[in-house]
Amino acid sequence: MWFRARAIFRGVTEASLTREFWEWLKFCGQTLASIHKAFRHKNDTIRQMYIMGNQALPLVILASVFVSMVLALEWGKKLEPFGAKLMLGRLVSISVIREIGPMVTGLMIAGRTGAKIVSEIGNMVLSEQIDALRAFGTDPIERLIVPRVFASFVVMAPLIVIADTMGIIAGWFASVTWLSIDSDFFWLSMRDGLLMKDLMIGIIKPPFFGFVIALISGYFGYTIQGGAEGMGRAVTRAVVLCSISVLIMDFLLTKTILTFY
Amino acid sequence: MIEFQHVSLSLHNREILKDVSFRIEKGESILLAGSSGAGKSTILKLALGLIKPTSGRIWVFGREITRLSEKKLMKLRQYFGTVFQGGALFDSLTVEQNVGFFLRENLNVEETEVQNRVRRTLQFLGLDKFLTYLPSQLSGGMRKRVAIARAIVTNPQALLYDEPTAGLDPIAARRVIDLIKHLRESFQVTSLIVSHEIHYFLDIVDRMLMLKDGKIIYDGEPNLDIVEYFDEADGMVSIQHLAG
Repeated sequence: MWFRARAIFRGVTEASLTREFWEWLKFCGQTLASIHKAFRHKNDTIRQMYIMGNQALPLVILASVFVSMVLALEWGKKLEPFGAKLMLGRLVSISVIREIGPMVTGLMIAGRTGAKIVSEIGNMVLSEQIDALRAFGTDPIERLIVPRVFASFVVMAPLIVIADTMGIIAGWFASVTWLSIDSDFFWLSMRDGLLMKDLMIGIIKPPFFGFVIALISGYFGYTIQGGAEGMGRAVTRAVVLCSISVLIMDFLLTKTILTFY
Repeated sequence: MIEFQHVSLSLHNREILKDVSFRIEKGESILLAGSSGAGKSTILKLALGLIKPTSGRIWVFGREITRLSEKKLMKLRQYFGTVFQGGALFDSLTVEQNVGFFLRENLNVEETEVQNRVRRTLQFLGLDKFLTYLPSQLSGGMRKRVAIARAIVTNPQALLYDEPTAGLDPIAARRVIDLIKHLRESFQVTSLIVSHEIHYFLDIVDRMLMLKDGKIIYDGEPNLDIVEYFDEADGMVSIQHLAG
């Protein structure tokens, strides 16, 4: 009985998951096919870039600053017994640029932008605004999803540059203030350790995170069902999936880049 | 102009429409009545091609739309003006932007022409003082009238109304009904009105369809007796009973 129930449950879940995955791929295909239309709706695209970039900036900076200070403090204490504290500039900058910055920014954007896109699009579906667009002959994917996906892709690079910069400054501040490391040593260590490759890796990954976050949350908003409860369910699922996707993509992109470099 | 041939629709293992057939001629004004959940709004969405039937055929402006691609449907939908139940106004846009949205978006009309048409339409509906208002700043009745303005500004060949008086107080509802009547008389546009508030529309439509449990059970002249029976039985009307 239990095995049968489990088999039925598993069968239904797998079937619905597979169906949903294919639906999502179709949605991605439709979005990508009209991605060039982002320029046609340039006012909307710029507005979305402002919302996703400028308005998310304080959150991203805050997260980056505090994670970097913790990183500097933790490693400073660990390196001290080996007399390697002077390597902190190199360690903080490489960690922030290659991994911490992109990852923290990706997760913050997954939460903030992901939830925003689902609730905006979802609300439009529930209040029949999407039906109204379609009824008057406007493609809602082209009009609403494309500007958001394009904006989310584009703003990630500048966001990450600012987040990394602020993170490194915060790491420097923590090292100088609480670990008594000489300021010049910190910057010299960073300059000697940091390679162009590190900068490339750090800046290549985030746009892909932004792209996938907008596609996932756009899909959950577009296919929302069931009123307020449905909205809550869609936002939760979207944020969870966006966060997991950022983690998985981070690994896959890092592995791919390291294979070629 | 709009024809349904043996249309059935199932969603989530539930039969919404069962073998629905009817025809609306050009210039005709039809009331589609029935209790809540009978499938009235679904018929409207099927006519627009927003959802596809499980079986049967739908003809709109001489074209069979059940197998048309979304791109071709988009073109065809531009001949319709639709008023959605809650208005479905775009909440981040002003009244002026809402009404002019599809002129700017789809029809590539020159900006001065858009502004003139929007102003003329809003003036016609007595809303020209609210150009810069957001939908959230308007009353329910005004929102409905803005939705009607948005539907007629493109000079559509057919107007579809989904519960145009739902949620309105009697005075606001009367204004909307008078407006629908005025539009019909002035422009002779084909109208399909979906409503469960039958008594409001009896004197402004040519024909009435009654829907119960996804089936058309009455197709004929607007009939007050049917309306009374329908009201008394709280939607439990059946054509056999009426015949008896």
